[in-house]
Amino acid sequence: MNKISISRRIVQVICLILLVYGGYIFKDWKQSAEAQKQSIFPSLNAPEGSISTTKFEKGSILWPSGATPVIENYPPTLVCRFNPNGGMFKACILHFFSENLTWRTSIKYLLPYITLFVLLCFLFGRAWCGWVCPIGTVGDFLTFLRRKMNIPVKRFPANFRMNLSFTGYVLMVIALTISTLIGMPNLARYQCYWFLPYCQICPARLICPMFGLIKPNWKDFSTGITTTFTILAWIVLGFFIAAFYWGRRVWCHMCPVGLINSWFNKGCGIELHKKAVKCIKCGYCADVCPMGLTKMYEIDKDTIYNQTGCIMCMRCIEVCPRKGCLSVKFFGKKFFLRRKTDAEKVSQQVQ
Amino acid sequence: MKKFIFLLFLCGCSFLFCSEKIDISFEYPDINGDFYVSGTAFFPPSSVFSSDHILVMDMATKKEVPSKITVSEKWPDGSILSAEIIFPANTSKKIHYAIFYGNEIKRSKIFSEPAVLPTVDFFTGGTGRTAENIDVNVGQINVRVDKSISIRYWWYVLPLLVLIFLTVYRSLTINRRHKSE
Repeated sequence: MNKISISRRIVQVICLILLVYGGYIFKDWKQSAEAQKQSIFPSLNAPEGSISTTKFEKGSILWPSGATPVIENYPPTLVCRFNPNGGMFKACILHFFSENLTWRTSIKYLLPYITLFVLLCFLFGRAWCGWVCPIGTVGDFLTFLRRKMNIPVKRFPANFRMNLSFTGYVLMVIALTISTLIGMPNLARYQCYWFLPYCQICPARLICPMFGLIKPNWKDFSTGITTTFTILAWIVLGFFIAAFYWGRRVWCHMCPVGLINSWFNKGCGIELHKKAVKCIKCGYCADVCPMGLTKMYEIDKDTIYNQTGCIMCMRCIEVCPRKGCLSVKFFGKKFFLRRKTDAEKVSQQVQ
Repeated sequence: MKKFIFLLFLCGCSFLFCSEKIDISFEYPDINGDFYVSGTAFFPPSSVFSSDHILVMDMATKKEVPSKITVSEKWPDGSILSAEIIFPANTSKKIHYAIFYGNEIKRSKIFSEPAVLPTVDFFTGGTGRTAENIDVNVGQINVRVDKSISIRYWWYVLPLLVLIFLTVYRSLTINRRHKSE
């Protein structure tokens, strides 16, 4: 494994431990109510007559293992509300929007959170997916298992990936529409069934509690609506496991947090550069791309090209056999070049 | 694809054939013996049309509990919106009760003459309309509403717009550089 892969794995494991077990590690650091009042981030609470995750009891689908997070904020990665002991951060950005649309929170209280989210996306784009996301790390582990079992990777056509992104957007729009509708006073009585609709089918809700050996609520057949959500959650979890096991990062194409991050990918601080004159069209970059992107390989001009689907894992730069062909810059400052091959080192010494 | 549509169809069917359930939660009073549990339950439109199709069940023994159900409000289509429900309970054993409703449900145990017993209110989570209002005269209260404009959180619009502008600008300039090169 190359240096960049090793550093990525180390960062992924550290982030997984911090984000998932942060609730245990930093349990004494939880903000007091008084400190929260002084914070630049206002506390967002459910108004009277609305429901919140803390009101759900053990046994219901949305039971968040009865703990509050260490930091009530929403980083641009799939941090789950259902992490054991509350987790390090509160939740993902879709949870944030969904919850606050239902609570009809004034936009001014949401602005600090949205600004921080946009700032982090502007700086690092979808590098959050490739380097930080705990669910992505779980998926990479499944991919590692597949490789160990010598099962060949399944390559999905570009159309399939595009359809996945479309499905992700459709699910996101439906979830946010439902969240808005149940926030209306005359539909408030449905909140106990339809609160956080995406969370009810998200695979992270079922996976994250298991990190703390907490049994998630796998099934709830008490009403028609909970039965439907239970079946949908099973279907999505099945797809999630299959997507990571047979393909690589296929789930990331329809992950709602990844989709929101991808809006910032083209203009973010991390830039992928290609010097076309040095490219020998070996196709290694396209082969190793976990997102199945081939644009970098196809381009025949010197360019900076951040694709919306790129998770900045930098595997393409790592495997490129030509020195200086692919590189990464952070706001124009070069910080990673492909390493020199032994032959190149020798030729440099000779010169 | 056909299998997926079939699964969706099954999900849809589950709406039609499942009887609905509302969990009842209440605090047991600090007394020994019998007491009545009373409260209002809300139902979705077109879900139940008669109080005969609503029953209270003891979830420990899965047996019906005698109950008095009075319809309070109705939806425009004639289905029940809310109903007041009273049923007896005992402090000797903490039991979980639930309301079941639906056209396939038939209530058989009805009681109409409640004795004089202490009553506790139950609440069905999420509706936010179950708390009883109690009028208490506390005299004159002066309330001062601060209507001065506060920009404490609104000023975040500025950095937010700057960041969005920078993202769009960078993505456009990077593409332009790409074209010129």
